[in-house]
Amino acid sequence: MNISKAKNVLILAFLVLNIILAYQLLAPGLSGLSAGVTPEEVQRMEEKLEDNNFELASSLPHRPQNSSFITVKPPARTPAKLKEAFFAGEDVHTINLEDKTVLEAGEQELNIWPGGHYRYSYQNDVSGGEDVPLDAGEAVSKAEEFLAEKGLFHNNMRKGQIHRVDEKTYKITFYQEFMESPIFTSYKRIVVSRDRVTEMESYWLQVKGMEERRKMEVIPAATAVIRLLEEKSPEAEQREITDIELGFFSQEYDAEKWEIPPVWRIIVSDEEVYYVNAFIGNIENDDIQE
Amino acid sequence: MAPLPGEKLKTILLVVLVLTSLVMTYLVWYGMPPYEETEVVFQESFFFEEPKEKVETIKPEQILIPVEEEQKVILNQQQEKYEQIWTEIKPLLEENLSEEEQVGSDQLPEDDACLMVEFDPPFPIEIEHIPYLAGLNQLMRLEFYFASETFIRLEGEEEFQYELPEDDFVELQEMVADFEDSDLPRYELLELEADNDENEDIEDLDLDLDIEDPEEIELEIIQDIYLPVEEVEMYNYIDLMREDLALEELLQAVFVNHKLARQIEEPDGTLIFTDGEKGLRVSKYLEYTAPKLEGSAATHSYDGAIQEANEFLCYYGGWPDGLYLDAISRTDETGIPGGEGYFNARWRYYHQGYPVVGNLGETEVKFNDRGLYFYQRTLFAPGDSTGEKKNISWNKKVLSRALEFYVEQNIEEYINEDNESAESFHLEDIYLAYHLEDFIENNLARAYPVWVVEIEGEVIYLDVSELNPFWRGEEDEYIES
Repeated sequence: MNISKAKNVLILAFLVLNIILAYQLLAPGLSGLSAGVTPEEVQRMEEKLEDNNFELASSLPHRPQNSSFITVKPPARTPAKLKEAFFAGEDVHTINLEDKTVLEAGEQELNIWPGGHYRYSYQNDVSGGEDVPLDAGEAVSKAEEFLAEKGLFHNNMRKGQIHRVDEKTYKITFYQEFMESPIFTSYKRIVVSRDRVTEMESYWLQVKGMEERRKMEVIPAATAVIRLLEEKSPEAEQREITDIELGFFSQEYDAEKWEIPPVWRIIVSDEEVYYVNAFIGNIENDDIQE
Repeated sequence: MAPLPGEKLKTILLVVLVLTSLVMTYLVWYGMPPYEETEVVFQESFFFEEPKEKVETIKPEQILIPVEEEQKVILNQQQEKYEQIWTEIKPLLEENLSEEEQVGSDQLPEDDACLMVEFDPPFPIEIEHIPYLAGLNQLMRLEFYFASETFIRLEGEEEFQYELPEDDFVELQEMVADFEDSDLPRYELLELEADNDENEDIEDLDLDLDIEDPEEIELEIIQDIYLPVEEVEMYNYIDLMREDLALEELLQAVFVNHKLARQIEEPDGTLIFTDGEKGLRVSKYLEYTAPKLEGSAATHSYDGAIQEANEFLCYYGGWPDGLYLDAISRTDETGIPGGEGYFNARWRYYHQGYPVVGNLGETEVKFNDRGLYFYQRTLFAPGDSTGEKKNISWNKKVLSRALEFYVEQNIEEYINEDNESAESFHLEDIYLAYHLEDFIENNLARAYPVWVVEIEGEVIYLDVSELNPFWRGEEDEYIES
C-alpha cells in the first residue's frame, strides 16, 4: 500500500471516529459534559435489586437526558362543553351535588368534579352482547373511535398501558405527550367491554410550556431504581421491574396553575406504579395500582 | 522529490483529524464526571442574617415596680420605660458576677423588692466560666433592693443573692423612684374568694352554666395574674403592615437548590413551593414544612434550643425589630435519643406593651434533632396607623364568660364523673392583647383589642366590647362569621 492510500484510509477512519465523538458531545438531548449511567451505578443497582429480591425485566435507559419543569393549568372543559360532547341532542338530567355535577342521559352517566376531572360510564349490562373475545387491537380501535366521535381525541395523545381485565374487557390508558415525553398526570383511561366503551375517566391538563432556563440533567434511571428500592422493604417472593420510562408526574392540585417535575416511572410486576422525581430522587407517590 | 499539493493537503487534514479526535476523546473521557460529582443539585447556601447574640434572644416578660401597697406598675415590651430599664439591667447579666459579692438570703433588706424583672421564657445566663451558678442557667426572676447598698436576688432553679456597689445603679434607682408619680396604670394581683388554700371559690363570678351543681366547679390560679386597677388605654384597632418578603432569597435559604422546587399557584393567590420533601407556602403568612424530619427526639439543652430557634428565625427570613421570643418549650417528656419530641418556640410582636396574638399573627418554629420541620411566620408587623384610643377596664365578667365558654365547650368532659380534674380548672393567665383578625388588603391587616384567658392550656379570646369568646385555633371561623 502506498503512502497516499494509507493517508486516505486513515483520514476516513479518523473522520468516522470524529463523527462518533462529536455526536457523543453535541447530539441534541445529550449534554456534552453530562453524566450517564456509570458502571458503579449499575453495579450498585444490581446489588440493591438482589438484596430486595427484585429482577430487572426491562431495558434500562442509558442515555443521559436533560429536562425541566412543565407548567400546567387544570383541564379546561366545562360541564356545558362536556354535556355537548357526550350527550348532544339527548335528554339530560343534571344533578348538582356538593362536590360534583352529575349528568344522566338514559343509561349513561357523567360525573364532573370542579377540578376538571370527569368520569363517563355506561351503566347498562353489556353481558348480553356478542360473545366473541376481544383482542387488544380491536379494543384500542374502539377506544379511539369513541374519542374521535366525542371530539375528545388530541393530536398529542399517546397510547400507554393496555390492561386486559378479562377476555372481553380491556382498560386502555392514553397519556398526553409533551416534547415526546408522557405526562402521567394527564390521561384518559377507557374501558372497552365487548363492543362498546363502558367507562372513561379523564384528567387532561392544559400545558403552558416548559421552563427552559431551569433545564438540567436528570438522575440516571439506575439511580431512580436504587432510590425506589431504598424506600421499599425486601420482598419475600421475587418481583420484577417491568418498565422504566421518563415522563412528567405530580399529584392533582386544586390550583390555578402548577409545575410538574420530570419523573422516572417505574412499574413493578405490571401492576404497581411508582414515580421517582428525576431531579432529586424522592418518590412522588405512594404505590398506585393501575 | 517534493510531495504533490494534494498529498500535502491530505497530510494537513490527517493531522487536524488526529488532533481533534484527541481533544474530543479527552472531553468525552474526562469531561463526564460521575453523577455524584456533578453540580446539578447543590448550590451555595444562603441565609438572611447572622443569629442574634445570646443576650438579645430573650427579654423580660414583664418588669414590675411596686408603687403603692399591693399595687404595681407593669412594663411590657415595646414600651419606652421597659426598654430603658432593660438597657440598664442587661449588662449585669452579661458580666460575671463575682463570688465575693455573694451574700446569704438573710442579708437581704426586709422590705419588698423595689424592682422585679420576670422572664418567661427564662433568661439563659452564661455559666460556662462560673460553675457555681449552674442553678441559674435558666433565670426566671431578678429582684432589686435599693437600701444603703444595692442587693439583687436571682431566682432560677436555685436562688443567689448579691450585694453590689450602690453607684452602679444610680440611674436605675432614679428611674424606679420616678414611677411613684407616674400616670402609668397600676395593676394588682387577681384574687378570688378562697375557701381553702388551693382552690378558689368562684361564687362571686356569678356563672351562668347549664350544668348540674355549678357550685362544684373550682378554680385554681396557678401563677400570679396582675390585672389593671383602673381603666387602661388601648386603640380600637392597630394596623399591621405586610413585611416586604424577599421570596427569591427565602427559596434559596430553604431549598438545597431552589431551581428544583416547583411552584403551585392556588386560586386565592397563595404560592406553594415544594421539592417533594419540603414545602413553603406564602399567603397571608409564611409556612414551611418538612414532614420527613418529624418523629425524632429533641435532646438540645435549654441554651442549645434557644440558639437553634434563633438561628432558624434569622436564617429563614430574619428576626425583625419588635418581635420577641415569647415561649420555648420541649413538647413531651422524652428529651432522650430514640424518643420522640420537639421544641416549640413562638415569637410575638408587641404594640406599646400589648402582644399581637392569634394564629396568623405569631411566628412559630418546631424542631428536633433532625432539624426544623415546621415554621410559620407572620408577615404582618405593627405599623404607625391606629384607631381611636379607648378605655378598657377589668371586670370579673371577663373570667365568667371565659369560664362559661370553656365549660360549655368541654361539657362532655365535665359530666364524666370519672374525670376528677374536670371540676377543678387551672387558670393560667389573663391579659390584654391585640388579636389579628382582618386582612384589609394584600399589604394591610388589622388587629383588635381582646382579653386573653388561658384555662387548662386552652386559650380563649374575648373581644373587649361585648366579651364574645372564641378559641385560639378557631379564629378563621370566628372571623368569617
